Amino acid sequence: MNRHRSKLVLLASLVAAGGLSFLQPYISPYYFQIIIYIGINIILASSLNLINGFAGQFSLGHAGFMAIGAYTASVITTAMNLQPGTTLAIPMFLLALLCGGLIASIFGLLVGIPSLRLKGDYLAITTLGFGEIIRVIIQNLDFLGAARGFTGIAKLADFFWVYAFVAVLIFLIYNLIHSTYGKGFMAVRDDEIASEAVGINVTHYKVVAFVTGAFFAGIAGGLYAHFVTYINPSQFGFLRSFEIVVMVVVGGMGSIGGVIVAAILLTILPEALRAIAQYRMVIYSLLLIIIMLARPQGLFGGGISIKRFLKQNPEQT
Amino acid sequence: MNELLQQVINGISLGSIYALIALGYTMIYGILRFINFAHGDVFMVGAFVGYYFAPIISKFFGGSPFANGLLVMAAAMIICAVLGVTIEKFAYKPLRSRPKLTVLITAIGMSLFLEFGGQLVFGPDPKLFPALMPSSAIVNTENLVISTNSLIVIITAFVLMILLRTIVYRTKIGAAMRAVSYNHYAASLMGININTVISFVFALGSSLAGAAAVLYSSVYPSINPLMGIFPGLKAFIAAVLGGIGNLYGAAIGGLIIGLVETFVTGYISSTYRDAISFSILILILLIKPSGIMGKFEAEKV
Amino acid sequence: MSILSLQNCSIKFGGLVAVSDLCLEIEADDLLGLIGPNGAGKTTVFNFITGVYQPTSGRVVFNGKDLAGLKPHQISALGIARTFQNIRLFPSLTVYETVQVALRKNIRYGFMQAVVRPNSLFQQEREINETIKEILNFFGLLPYQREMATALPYGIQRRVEIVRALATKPRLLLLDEPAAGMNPAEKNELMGLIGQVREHYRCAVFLIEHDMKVVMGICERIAVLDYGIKIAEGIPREIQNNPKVVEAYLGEKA
Ligand SMILES: Nc1ncnc2c1ncn2[C@@H]1O[C@H](COP(=O)(O)OP(=O)(O)OP(=O)(O)O)[C@@H](O)[C@H]1O
Ligand SMILES: [Mg+2]
Repeated sequence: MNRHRSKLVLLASLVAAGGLSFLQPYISPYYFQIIIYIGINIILASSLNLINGFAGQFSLGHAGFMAIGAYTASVITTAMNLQPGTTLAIPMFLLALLCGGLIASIFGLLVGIPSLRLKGDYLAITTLGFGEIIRVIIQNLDFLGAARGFTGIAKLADFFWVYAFVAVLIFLIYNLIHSTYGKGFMAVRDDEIASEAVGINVTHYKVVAFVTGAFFAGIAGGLYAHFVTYINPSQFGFLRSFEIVVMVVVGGMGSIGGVIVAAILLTILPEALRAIAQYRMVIYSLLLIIIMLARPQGLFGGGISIKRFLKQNPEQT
Repeated sequence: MNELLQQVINGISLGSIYALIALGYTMIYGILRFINFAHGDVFMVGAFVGYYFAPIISKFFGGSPFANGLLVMAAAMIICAVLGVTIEKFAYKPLRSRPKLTVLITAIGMSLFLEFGGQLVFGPDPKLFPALMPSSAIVNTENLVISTNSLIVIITAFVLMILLRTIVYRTKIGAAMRAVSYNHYAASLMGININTVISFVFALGSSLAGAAAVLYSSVYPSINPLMGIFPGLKAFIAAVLGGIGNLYGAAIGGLIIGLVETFVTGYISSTYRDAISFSILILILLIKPSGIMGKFEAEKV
Repeated sequence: MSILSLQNCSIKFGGLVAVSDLCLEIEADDLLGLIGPNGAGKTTVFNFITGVYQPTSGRVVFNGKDLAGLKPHQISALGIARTFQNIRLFPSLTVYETVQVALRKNIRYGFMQAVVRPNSLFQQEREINETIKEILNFFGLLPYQREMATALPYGIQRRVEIVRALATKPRLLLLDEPAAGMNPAEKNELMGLIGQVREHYRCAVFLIEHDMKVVMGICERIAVLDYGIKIAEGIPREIQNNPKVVEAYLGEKA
């Protein structure tokens, strides 16, 4: 294990994010927006990858965590009436983001608990249900704007913040899975019974994956809200969750680099296909089916084998 | 009092539709041990089949509205059955020996494909499902309207369920179905053709979804390509509630979900209608994951 | 004092009584064999010792501690390790990583340190690395350390599974049909390996095995299970000549 390399890479990325953010005035707002969305999607997909790819808990509720982070952070910055450019703006925005992440991770804990008993299909549908419940609740809360949405959020998220969090998350996942502690995630994903038999606390790993994944989804939500400045519950429906799942599956579950590449491509692709926008989701869904039939390890995955991922169909002999 | 009765009738009517869809989930789960996420979208296709066939049938067939209605339903059932079998052949069958997660993701992909393919083919905007029969009120007093429509829905659904019961418990293919769902390997040793049985189950389950779609659309006539998502999820919840893999459980679960939803809509707020079903799901999975009628299967080591 | 004591253990699956009123003692340096026809309940005994199932009645006492209600990973931490009848290796881990996972309890850091990597972490990871190398070397697996464990030949997979169990430093090792599917040469190797393990790790071994040559060759005592009931226990020669045992096995063949 190389002692300082990953820290140096993190530092370099933060500096680069800071430096590159000065280029913003030279980029057209349209491209700039795409670049920001890429960053947010990398955070969403990579955090789901932790739950889904590394810990093997198939979750369809990621947009729910995102919504919690988005609304929490927006409520805080709006209540404080933060304005971009003021001295308080940066530390308080950061604080608001962290609160959003924290609240999301509390919900991650709640969702993680069923994952201790449920597997595969059941967990997927339970997490999907969780995401929908969150959405319906927000839709009925008047102080969050209900179905009309939450307006007037200050535009506090910029290139630096988004990519700083991208760098921190990648650093975190990389270090995690390259430690003896972190190998436990893969063991749990591969075989829970064998993991327990060698002293791995399966419950612990599943819960940690959900809490951490939800935390960063919450951060991504906060960043998103403070970039678009207007949010409403329908932006966090389960199609959003599906999109994030597609990124993880296309990139390759459990592949850090693959998921980043997939997040980038799948953010650009719809823009490139703008002329035929109505085909976007059809293409997504076909992509999903074809990849599962032809290359279940994902387009860019392959670093790991997902053979016997979860469990072989017990009916097969 | 009348209002309560009204809710109960509405609830049973909606619930019997959920039950029909739930039966498809449960049968497919019973035989392949996986949730066919696309089942709700097969239901959606059934509604569109009805939408396009109803005018044709009434124009060229011109029987009584009741006979026409039955024909429309038969058309939806047949086309859904073909669709279900096709989906199984192309998307699920090649994955039969692969990890369950692969099949699950494929099913989600198939569901999205039907939804957004549907938007391309049928157009994304809601369409008005034609009234198959003139609906009249049998009872119409203060706070209580019982229409022929809701009675027809309930009666048709129950007739179909009894028919299904007969197929599963009184015919040879039904016996084969039960054998396969008990143990694939043993069933194949007994000379049962597993592929035929699986195709049959998909045909049966999907045709029930098609019938449910025609019934549903005659009560809620605004149809669109995404309409299958929620009834599909609710029916799935019903199947889990009743004990997935269990036919009676699916019927009972469907009725319970239908009633609960109608009551929440009537007495609390329609906006919580969807959330309540999911809450039931989460509760049942935490308290008794095997459902009302199901048995718990421990993993063998 | 015995290290493991099963006191009147029974377990039911629905109506089926898989193990009934089983009593068994294992001493700290024992090599005990467990034999019996297919479906006799042997694996089930391992499953309730390791906490995969809870016995319906009776007590499992390990090292003076009642194991009732403990999770499998807690039981592993107390010093019981096992292998599985149908090998359960981690398909996405290499041989090195497989042993690494089993050394989880050697590390004294958690999530936060794994992420921020303080200096103490590197010290611990270096120790882990040395331990892995040592174990792999001892069992001749060093050449395979970078291979995916499930991609190896069958005999070596069995060996990796035993080594994974031993890496947890057990005081009792449970082996479920380790010789199944092996050729005679591999079986001889396995018998040597089990001898090595007892010498080097000083742990008790509890072994399920169908191969009589292996069982009779290495076990000091043998218990026989038939339909969940212990029908005999004794030294190999007694077992070989026990009419009940002969009947249980012949009865199965007929
Ligand atoms: N989780 C379970 N649920 C129901 N029955 C079970 C379960 N686990 C084991 N059994 C049953 O308990 C009995 C004993 O099984 P067990 O696996 O312990 O036998 P065994 O002696 O190890 O056989 P073999 O030599 O074939 O490995 C069998 O009838 C088996 O079907
Ligand atoms: Mg066994």
